[in-house]
Amino acid sequence: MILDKNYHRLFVEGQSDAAVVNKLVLRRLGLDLAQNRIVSTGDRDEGGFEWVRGQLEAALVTKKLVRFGAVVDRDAVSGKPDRWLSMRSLLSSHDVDIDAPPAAGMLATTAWGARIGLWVMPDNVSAGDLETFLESLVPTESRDWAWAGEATTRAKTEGAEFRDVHARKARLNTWLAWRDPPGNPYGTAIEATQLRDSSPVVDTFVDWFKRLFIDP
Amino acid sequence: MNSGFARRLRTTIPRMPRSLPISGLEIRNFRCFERLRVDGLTRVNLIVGTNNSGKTALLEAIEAVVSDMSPFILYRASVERGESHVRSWGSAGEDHEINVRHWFHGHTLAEGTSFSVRATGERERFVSRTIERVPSDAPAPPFVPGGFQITLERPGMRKNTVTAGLPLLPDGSLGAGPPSTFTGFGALLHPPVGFMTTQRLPVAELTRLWAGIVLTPREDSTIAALRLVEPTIERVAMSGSGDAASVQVLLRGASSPVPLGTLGEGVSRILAIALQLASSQGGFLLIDEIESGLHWSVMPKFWRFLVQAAREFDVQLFATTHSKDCIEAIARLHREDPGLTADITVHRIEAGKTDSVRIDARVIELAIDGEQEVR
Repeated sequence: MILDKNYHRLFVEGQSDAAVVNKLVLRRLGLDLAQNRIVSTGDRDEGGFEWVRGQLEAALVTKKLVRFGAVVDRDAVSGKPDRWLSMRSLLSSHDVDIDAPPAAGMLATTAWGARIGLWVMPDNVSAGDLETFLESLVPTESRDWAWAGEATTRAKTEGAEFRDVHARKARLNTWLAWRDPPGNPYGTAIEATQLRDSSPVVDTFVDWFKRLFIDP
Repeated sequence: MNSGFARRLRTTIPRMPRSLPISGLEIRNFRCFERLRVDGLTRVNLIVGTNNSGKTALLEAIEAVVSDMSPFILYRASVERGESHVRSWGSAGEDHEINVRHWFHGHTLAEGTSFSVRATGERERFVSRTIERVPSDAPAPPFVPGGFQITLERPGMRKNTVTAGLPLLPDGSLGAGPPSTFTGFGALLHPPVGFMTTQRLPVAELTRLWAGIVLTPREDSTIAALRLVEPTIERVAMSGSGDAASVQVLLRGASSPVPLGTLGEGVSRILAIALQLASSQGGFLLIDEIESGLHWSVMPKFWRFLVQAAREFDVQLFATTHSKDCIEAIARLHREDPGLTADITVHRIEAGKTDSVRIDARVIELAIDGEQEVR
């Protein structure tokens, strides 16, 4: 199965999202997305979500892609807007009507026969983001995961500068800082098997990806 | 709508642009199109699509429908495409005969075969051609009773349709006369209709167009356009006509002018486009493969010029392209000046699809940013 970037595209919010998707799909489905640049990424520091939304809109207008989708953070925590609502209004203005994101990930067929997918991190149902999704890949036997949580909380009381909304991100990166080698980015950590490549939510994601891009 | 509300609308909405001559098209049974609909046309329209999707045929359909008062519809296109031959009998050696079967989807010549092009906009325009049998009581010659004729319908007074027929020869050819009678005919129409192929415009044609703008403000805008590709151009002079016609260009700091031909294809192409725009004032200009001869680096400025000139001369422009540089130039121009690109749309046609895909400059910019193909 060879995907072609002129017809198959997945739009994600930032480099780390792209790396996670690329490594998970490579390990689980044996498909090298990076080589064919199937996953296109915005810049999280410059409005990654808005970029993804713009790319979906462009694909819906230009009608050139035949299988395409987006992975976005739902957010909807700590006063952040619920990104699902924004996506739903975009899709609905292009005649793709979905009431609520199904837990298995949204898939739909456009009026001109293309397949469109949407995955809302972490699991299409809960509030959260990429880090919430990745927590499920921390090995259950990892005894320092709990300690990484306590250390992060303690660090905050000692003047650590991260915002509360990034507490999960801080904890995950703290835990990654204690691996060998320390401080791998998410995708590399999956490749190095520091993070696992399977969990119930990740299995559902991989299945969604497969149904969007590979299944007939 | 009550009148109070209407009054408020008039006062709150800024000056609305007047409706464009053509905002939509519906084509039936013409060349490669069994059926095609194109909607949402703007002042400057770029037509894209793969090879054999029918980009040139779409330009010809537009040319035909905006030339609805011309007796020579599609003659120029047929000669250009090599669908004609020089008459092998009779006295005038230059007379062409056109094989009209290629005008119709499926290239078949049978009784009842018909194509039509309908355009909506400031007024409805319509052209059609139908193959019919010559009635037995027809005045012969040139009509041969029982043979084919091609008929055209013209909207007449009070909804009555006037039907006129032209006889076809037994092999299905239509006598068209010498090309000189119909190739430049679009310029004589009201509003004028210009068509540019990828062929370099002959110098005699350039001098003819130049004569119409020299010593008018349109001369200055033409020179300004030339400076997009050759900034050192100071003046242009044209003289003579026919075989003796010549175009001389004076470059900054040079003591004597040089012939246009020495300056490269881009200068000639821009000169031809600028002259055609100025000569199509108030009408239509159709350009096949607009990128032809132009380097990618001039594209953004070129598009700025096109929109400004189309506005200034009140021309509705339709152009085809294969070029990614053209699309990227529109995206870039949109970032710099969205007020200008509001007048640009891209329309993609695909073989076998009955609706074109319309893409405005804002979406072009999004797509280019995400490396999405739009052609």
